[in-house]
Amino acid sequence: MEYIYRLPFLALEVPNLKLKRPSWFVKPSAMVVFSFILLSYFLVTGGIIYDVIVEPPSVGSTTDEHGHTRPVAFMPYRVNGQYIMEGLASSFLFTLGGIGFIVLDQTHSPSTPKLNRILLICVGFISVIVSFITCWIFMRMKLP
Amino acid sequence: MLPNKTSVINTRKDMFPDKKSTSKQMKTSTLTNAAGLNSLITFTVLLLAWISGFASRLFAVIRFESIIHEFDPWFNYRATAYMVQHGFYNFLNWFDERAWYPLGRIVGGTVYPGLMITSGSIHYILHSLNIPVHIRDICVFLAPIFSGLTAISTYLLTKEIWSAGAGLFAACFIAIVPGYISRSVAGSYDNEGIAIFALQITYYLWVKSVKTGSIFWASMTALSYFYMVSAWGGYVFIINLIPLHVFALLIMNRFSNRLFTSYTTFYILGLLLSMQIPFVGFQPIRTSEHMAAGGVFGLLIFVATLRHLRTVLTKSEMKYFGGVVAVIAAILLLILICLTYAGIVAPWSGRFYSLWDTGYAKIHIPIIASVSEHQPTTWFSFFFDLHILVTTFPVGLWYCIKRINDERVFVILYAISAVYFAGVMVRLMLTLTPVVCMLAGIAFSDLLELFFKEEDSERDRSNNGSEEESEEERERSPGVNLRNGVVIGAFVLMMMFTLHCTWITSNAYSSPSIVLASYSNDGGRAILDDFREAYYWLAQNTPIDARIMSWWDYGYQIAGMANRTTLVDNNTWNNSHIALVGKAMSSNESAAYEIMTSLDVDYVLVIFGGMIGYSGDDVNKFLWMVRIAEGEHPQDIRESDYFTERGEFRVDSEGSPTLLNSLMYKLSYYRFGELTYLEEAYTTEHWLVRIYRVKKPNEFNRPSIPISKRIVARNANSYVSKKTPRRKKGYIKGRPTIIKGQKPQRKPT
Amino acid sequence: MTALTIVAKFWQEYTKNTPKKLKIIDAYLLYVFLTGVIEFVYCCLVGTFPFNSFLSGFISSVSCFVLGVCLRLQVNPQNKNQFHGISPERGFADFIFAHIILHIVVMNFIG
Repeated sequence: MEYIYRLPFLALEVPNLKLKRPSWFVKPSAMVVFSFILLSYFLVTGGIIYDVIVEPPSVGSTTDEHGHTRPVAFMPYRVNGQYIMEGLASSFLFTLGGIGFIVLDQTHSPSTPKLNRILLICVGFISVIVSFITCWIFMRMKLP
Repeated sequence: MLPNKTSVINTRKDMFPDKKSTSKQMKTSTLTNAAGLNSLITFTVLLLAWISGFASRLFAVIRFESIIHEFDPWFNYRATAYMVQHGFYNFLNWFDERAWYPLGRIVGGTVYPGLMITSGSIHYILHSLNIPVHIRDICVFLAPIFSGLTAISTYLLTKEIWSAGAGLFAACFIAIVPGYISRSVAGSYDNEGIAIFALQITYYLWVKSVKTGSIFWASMTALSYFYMVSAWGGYVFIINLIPLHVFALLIMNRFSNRLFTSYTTFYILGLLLSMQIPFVGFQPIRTSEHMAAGGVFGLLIFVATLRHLRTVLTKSEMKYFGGVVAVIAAILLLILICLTYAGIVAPWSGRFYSLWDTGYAKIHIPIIASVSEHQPTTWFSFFFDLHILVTTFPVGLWYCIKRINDERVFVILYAISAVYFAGVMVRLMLTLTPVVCMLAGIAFSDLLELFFKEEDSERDRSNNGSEEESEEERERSPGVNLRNGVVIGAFVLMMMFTLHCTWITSNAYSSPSIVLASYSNDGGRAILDDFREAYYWLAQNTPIDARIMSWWDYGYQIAGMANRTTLVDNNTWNNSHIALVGKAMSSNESAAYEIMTSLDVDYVLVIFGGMIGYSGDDVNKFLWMVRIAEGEHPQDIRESDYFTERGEFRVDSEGSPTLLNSLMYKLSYYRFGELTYLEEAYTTEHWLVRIYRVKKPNEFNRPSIPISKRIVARNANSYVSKKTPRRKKGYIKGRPTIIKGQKPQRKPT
Repeated sequence: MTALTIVAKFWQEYTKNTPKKLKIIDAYLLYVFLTGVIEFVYCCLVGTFPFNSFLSGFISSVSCFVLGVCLRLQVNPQNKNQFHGISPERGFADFIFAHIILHIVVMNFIG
């Protein structure tokens, strides 16, 4: 049995290879992985797949009573539809809220001075609140 | 009931401060107390989560009645009732001739029986305890009860991954989150209701078995995986996610013997168990969806062998053997590829393929794309179904990535894949919801822990280091105030979440959709019960073997409520049959009549919302009928014919003539137009459901023979003199008489 | 350096260093492995006609093998630090439990 496996090696000389990781391949750090995931999360919650399939316009438009066309950012009263910009704006807000929470978490590292800490807490908290309230307003706009 | 319910939820929310403060006390109190207190709190919170989750799913029952909702649940209910009546083995052998006329459907082999078995066994147990419960009530309340079990299994899973506190948060979130409620309100008796529980418990057992490496837990994983396979087609998600987890661990160089033990045991038992479900059959070894699991199984054994050899042999010997092994592995891979190309291993089925190539369904399988829950997701659905959790999701992910270990790799992969799938299909939001709840639980619990703990440490420091011990001094310092503010803010957010959940549950997800409610301006409520009215009419006034044609959405309801034979139903296994019905609906009356007679149709049922402004009617779905029909009969039906010249789809007088002549249009707007081959049989109170009887060939008034011609013919044949009274003409011998039904059918021109 | 010498050396070390329990398990593994191979060869020669019977037979031998390997890993004293709280007895009980499930299912499946 072994001789069969030896057959090709009679003709070929086994090269003295050492498999090494290519130099560009480093194990990505946790933060790189996270930012990558966050980016994809940003895109998916923005409905990028919807945009690819349905191909809505980036911003909608309506015609008012004078015949002028006005741009409309939100597709009103349509729960299953969206414009591209609208989706990106709201997913930006989602991400902002997430980052706010992370900032809140970062405040406890002992190296930061007290003033910074307070500032960070404020920033994080405000971004959470802002993103939440704005999303809520967006939702009310879309609901019939 | 409403204030009562919110108060339940509020008490549950109030539990959190309790929990936190007690956990603070715990550190100072004696150890003996702590364990008891801990389990008491856990128990209470889980119980309250269960109760509040159950209660908030009852809106539909309270507002309407204990009734099965929507479409698919009606089939599940019918099958369950059949199983309870005829026994399990008859159920497995059930050939349903009432569906898919004239083909019929082998129900036992084309259904995931887990749901029916679950409720059937509950029914059996209750009846052997002499508690007489109707099977319908069990079916209605099954999903809310299982939501409590889901909460518990989520708690267990999160506890394994992070901590008990995070687990409690996650359990409370999943109990009331709208994304899960949407599929599990009382009355929505569908596979998803129990499948999410099976999913979570499988993942819990899997994580547990990876942690311990015990064969026991791995076998339990396989058993719960078996339950999942019997319950829902989404089991493919498990059988791909777990190998993905193993594969990721291998790549990250985290191989351990524990991993080997748990995965190999799980895979081989799970493979064997999953083949026991008749509907799944030999798919696990034949289709590409399941191949990844097998491949990882092989790879894991390969890696384990290499590592074992490395412990035994020296390095130079390794090289020799390594070459041999690599050659073998390459050959095996080649064989697999060849098998796939040779067609022995089936490629991805359309439904799964559409998950990867997102445009695929739109082009090739209109029947999948036509279902509204298969649409891609917009941002709105994310926020609507998850609310505040959508922002805390990346936070939990961040914690997990920061402090990574074997189990957290799993939850990260789960999160990423679920987010992607939820983006592709609205309905897969359901698989995203549990992981979002878990991550949000992690985020909230860590955040709060942090802020409470800091308070603690500060107090300790102030107690030890400085003299100012008074509470007031501490309160004055801005940092503490701010921190308290943050904590209060977090609670306000959760409060808003609760309100939002309750509001959405009551407004958006608690409509049975076979009973509609409309609200007038003064707050009064009108119930539109047209569907059941029509089905009841069918049950009472048509012969028992009457065949009813409708669009496939209503197939299950007609079978379930009217107990009549349908042509197509929501189990869309035969595309060409559906396309035939679509063609009948979308062609003109005479062409449709031919199709209908060839299919032995007795009655046609259409849904018409024009009278009361119901948007989900058949005219609204009409373009999908056209598209599906076009896919199979491109020479007869063309979608472009149904648009006006300006490319609009309009149903008023300016619509395209093809549309205005189509059967569906005529049936919907009958009494606005004329019908030849059908007659109106019944129209419900609000005109929502209209039933037409298909005339027999001898019945419609021979429209192609003008009356004048008939008179001429009679004149030529009869020998009646002007003097003889007309009534005598029948008695003349040898005169050809017209017998109804024997005349050859004349085609209208 | 030929394959034979390596195998011989491997065998020597194996007989010298392996505890008796593990040897028993190894014998069992070898037996199951050979059963699997025979079944596979038989199926290649005769065909897979009662497909479920073949599958249940083959998979049962594969899973016996796999479970045996798992048991061997858990019993092996070298791996003690990897399996916390799993004594050899516990491992064996788990092994039996998995086998009960396995054989009930196989019995159902073999038809």
